[in-house]
Amino acid sequence: MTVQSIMTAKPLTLRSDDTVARAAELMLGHRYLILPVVDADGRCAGAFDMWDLLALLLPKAATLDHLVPDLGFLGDDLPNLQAKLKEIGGQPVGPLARPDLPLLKPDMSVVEALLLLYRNRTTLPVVDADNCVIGVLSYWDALAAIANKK
Amino acid sequence: MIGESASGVWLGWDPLWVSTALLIATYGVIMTERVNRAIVALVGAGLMILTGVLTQKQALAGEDFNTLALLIGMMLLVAVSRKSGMFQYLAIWSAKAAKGRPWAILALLTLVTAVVSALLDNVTTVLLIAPVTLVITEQLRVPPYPFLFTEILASNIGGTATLIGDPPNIIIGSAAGLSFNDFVVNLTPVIVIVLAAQLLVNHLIWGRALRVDETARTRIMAFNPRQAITDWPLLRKSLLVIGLVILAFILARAIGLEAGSIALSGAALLLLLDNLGRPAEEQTHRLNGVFSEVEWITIFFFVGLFAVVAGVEHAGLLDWFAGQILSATGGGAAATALVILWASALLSAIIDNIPFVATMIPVIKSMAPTFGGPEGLLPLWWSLSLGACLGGNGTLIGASANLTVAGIAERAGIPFRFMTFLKLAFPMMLMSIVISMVYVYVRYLT
Repeated sequence: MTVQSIMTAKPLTLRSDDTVARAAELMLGHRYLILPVVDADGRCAGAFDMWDLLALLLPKAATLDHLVPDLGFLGDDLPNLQAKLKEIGGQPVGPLARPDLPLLKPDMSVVEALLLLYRNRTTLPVVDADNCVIGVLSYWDALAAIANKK
Repeated sequence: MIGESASGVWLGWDPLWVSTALLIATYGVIMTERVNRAIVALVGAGLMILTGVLTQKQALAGEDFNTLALLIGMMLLVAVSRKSGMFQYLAIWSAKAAKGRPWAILALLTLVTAVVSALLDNVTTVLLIAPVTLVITEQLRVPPYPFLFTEILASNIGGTATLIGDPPNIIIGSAAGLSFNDFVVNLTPVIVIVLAAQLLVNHLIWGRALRVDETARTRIMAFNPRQAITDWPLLRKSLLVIGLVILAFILARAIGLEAGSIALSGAALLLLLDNLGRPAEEQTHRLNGVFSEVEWITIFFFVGLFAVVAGVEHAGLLDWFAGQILSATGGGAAATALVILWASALLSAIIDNIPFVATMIPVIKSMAPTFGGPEGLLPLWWSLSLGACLGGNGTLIGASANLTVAGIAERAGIPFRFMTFLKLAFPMMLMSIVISMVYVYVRYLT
């Protein structure tokens, strides 16, 4: 069995020029944690995930290791966070997309894909020979296949 | 002293040449930064013994255990007390006390950095203050560079003010028998002037450019500094022990204690208070964490370095070097002090000031007969300290605190370039040395 047979085909993707606001809307609407980002030719340019989004909302220094122990001192700042979301909403996701995420190939074995899912702890894009996104493989997809539920 | 050490140097070579070659090689390799400095110093120390320049006994006699104990003790105290959030509290309190006005925040953060650096090591200080500064400036929507820049300068300037503020002072104090109070009485006054001058220049450069709107100030005024304290019982214990340690430093002569004993005993007391009543396994776990925060690289760097310096000292190189300085300055106290001040400032801007100071200590000590005994050496010790500590502000690689801040800034996406830093920092370092020169001259040499 290969990745192609268990992946979710034709997944929802973001274009490089889509905005952070659009990404947030799709993530929230579909409860997705990660979306592949494709360039104008449909080639995979990385992925934008929930943690990338949260990092944009937080003070930058607080996202670096454990340099700032906590942010309790900032007080109640939901309005600030809402303002921040508006502020960052117009940025394109292209430059923010993580290019270092490993990409799965359709003919990859399930066990190999499982190892990559385990190591990266996130859904991974599946690309063809031209680097075009043809699917995604989540741990739900993998577990469903292994448990014979798919 | 020449020949005293050599029970048999390799192939009958002259110990003076062998030890000089080893010292130059050690310095050279440290400067390339290709091999970790602790490894280089330990290899250098090993070779001093293996080549027969020193016996193991002589190498051990060269170790300054008072310095090592003081460093380890203070590192342990910081490792435990920082977990209470007290240092973040100070930074956040500054922002609020300044009522969100950016220039006032910058000035207060500079003061906090200088005072904390005077009592703790500089790297730890900036490691605690710089990240909070980034959060504050982000809330203010002002460029963080001026804040981080002044904090770097303040940490090196503040560190110069006390015996425990900067490693060069620790070694100078230990080797010359100068107490915590000696440093406070002799160096703190000039440090206050240098810090004020530095703030004034920074205000001229950046003061007007730092403007914020009312919303940003409201965000700062909403800060709750008390929330930064993560462990109240630990805070109380830490304040108690740090207070006792500082009191003991002040009374050191009267109670007949060396700085190393005070710092290590303080660390032991805080560890005891923090672990008392916890299960044995938890104590082991916590201690492993605390001990891993001691900068062993720095400690072993010192261990190696002391032996390397002992090697050249035994072989007679440093006596020869002291003679050269004295003949160049004509044996005049003023000229010698000023040469030491300027040479240590300029060299410390480009090389590590610790090996430089460790080498200069025996050189200065051997000048005692020329200047009428140890008392006559005082202006030289203060010149060495001021030059070596303040010189670190000259370039981005001049002191570890500079590189620490630059590293944090770069990771947060704020460029910290060598030349950009140099253009402002080097003239400001020169200004601080001119102030120090006038101070040393007026106070000790006229």
